[in-house]
Amino acid sequence: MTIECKEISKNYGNTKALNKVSITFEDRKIYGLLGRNGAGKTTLLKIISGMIPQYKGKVVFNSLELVRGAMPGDVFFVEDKIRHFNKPASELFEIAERFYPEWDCEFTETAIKAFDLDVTRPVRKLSLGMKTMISTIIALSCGSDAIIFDEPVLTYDPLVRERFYELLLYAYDKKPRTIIISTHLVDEVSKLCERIVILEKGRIRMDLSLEEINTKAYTMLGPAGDIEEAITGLNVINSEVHGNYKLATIFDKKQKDISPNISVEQISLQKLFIHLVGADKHE
Amino acid sequence: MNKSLTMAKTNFKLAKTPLVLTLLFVGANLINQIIMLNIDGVDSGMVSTGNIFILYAILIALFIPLSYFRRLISLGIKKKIFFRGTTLTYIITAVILAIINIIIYYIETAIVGDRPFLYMNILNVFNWFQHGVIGCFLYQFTFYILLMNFINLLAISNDGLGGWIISAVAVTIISVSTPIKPLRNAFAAFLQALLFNPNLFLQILYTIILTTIMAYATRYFIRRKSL
Repeated sequence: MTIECKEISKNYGNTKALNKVSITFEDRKIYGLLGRNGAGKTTLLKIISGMIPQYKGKVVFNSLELVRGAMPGDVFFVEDKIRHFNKPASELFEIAERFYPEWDCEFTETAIKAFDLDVTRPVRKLSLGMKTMISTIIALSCGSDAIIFDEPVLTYDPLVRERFYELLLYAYDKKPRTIIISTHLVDEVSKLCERIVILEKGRIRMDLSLEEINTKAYTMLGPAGDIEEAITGLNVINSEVHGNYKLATIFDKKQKDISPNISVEQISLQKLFIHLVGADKHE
Repeated sequence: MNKSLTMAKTNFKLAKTPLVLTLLFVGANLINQIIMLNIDGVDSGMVSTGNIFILYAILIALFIPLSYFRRLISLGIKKKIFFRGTTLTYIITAVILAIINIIIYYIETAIVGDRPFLYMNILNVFNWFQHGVIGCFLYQFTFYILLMNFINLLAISNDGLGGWIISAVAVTIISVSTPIKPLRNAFAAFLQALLFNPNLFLQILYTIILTTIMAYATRYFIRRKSL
């Protein structure tokens, strides 16, 4: 499912949560949506899911515009603040299953085992992480063409997070679909996502494939003079001086003829994210 | 339609608390009736057990929008399915309640016979048997649908300005029209048209119009609801 957001704006009082955001989430791709707290990630995801009906702009699913206030049929939204019925998880799965003809029972069983989820205990007796597991299992089992996760791993321990990532990829292999994951665990999602979108203060700061990021984001370390010369005309997102040496973080095309005194290294997605959205701190 | 029916079935399965509460009141009323039948109290009254079942209609119209709506959305159910399924839930409930009330009316009137105490049943109060059993069913059905939709509308809209305005208007109409005679008469005429209308067709027509307006308003509020 292709999801197009056209000029989406949303205000909360005088605060602009989203400011003319235009972005296309292509069919059958996994997206990582990154941004600082208050960047507008949840608002954007909730607008796409039909959870927030008051906004400006358009959301289009496979060329069909989302009717204001309606919820798109093939989009499943998972958030960390979930309210479930106080029933055992098995009953909740049964209820959800009735509404989804493409429900994958085999996947549900696999996921229950992988998460080691006790499906007989009522929700009230489950931890927050386990409650999120229930929603995650429903989302991945229901056969929706698009799944949106808003901070899905916030309540998980590292082991469960790994299992979640494995399950996500397993579900994607079984049925490729559009998946958007909003998270603060930047480097963890970089293993899953094909494209990374960074939101900053309600605007799209970056929308690139992981491949593009890997070729464009790097550091140069060397004598300050050589670095100054090498970075001329490049998009420098951070620079630090250590004695006679300078470390510059670049987000631009790679230079071919670089002085042998300069060492070039790729940077992690997390470092890139910090330098991009925290750029104003250094300027 | 399939998903709406599934939604309706789900609502009924979930609505155990309204059912248990209603059955408790029904049980208490039955005990009261047994005592009444045995003591033959001349100055006492007996409320029909069938009427107590109407409590279920009131309770599910409160529980579904206030307690189940958000939780159903968390399970991936869409607003449209919720609205359609809930409407179907109310229709089915209205049919069942109307039938229950008629059956219990016949049982109770046979048991009470010509005993001296007062037997109270809304079917008598509103004179809903004036057009026979089918008429009684239709009078009740439309009234229960209207009642559930009204409560549902107030409950679903309670978290927004529009909902508060509706509630305020409803309260104002009742409180202002009660002490002022011309308004009281107008309000009484309105209620008569909806509840005591000797013309079955007109009563059904008025109720359907009002219910449709309320259903559209409910749909509007559901659509505008931020989650």
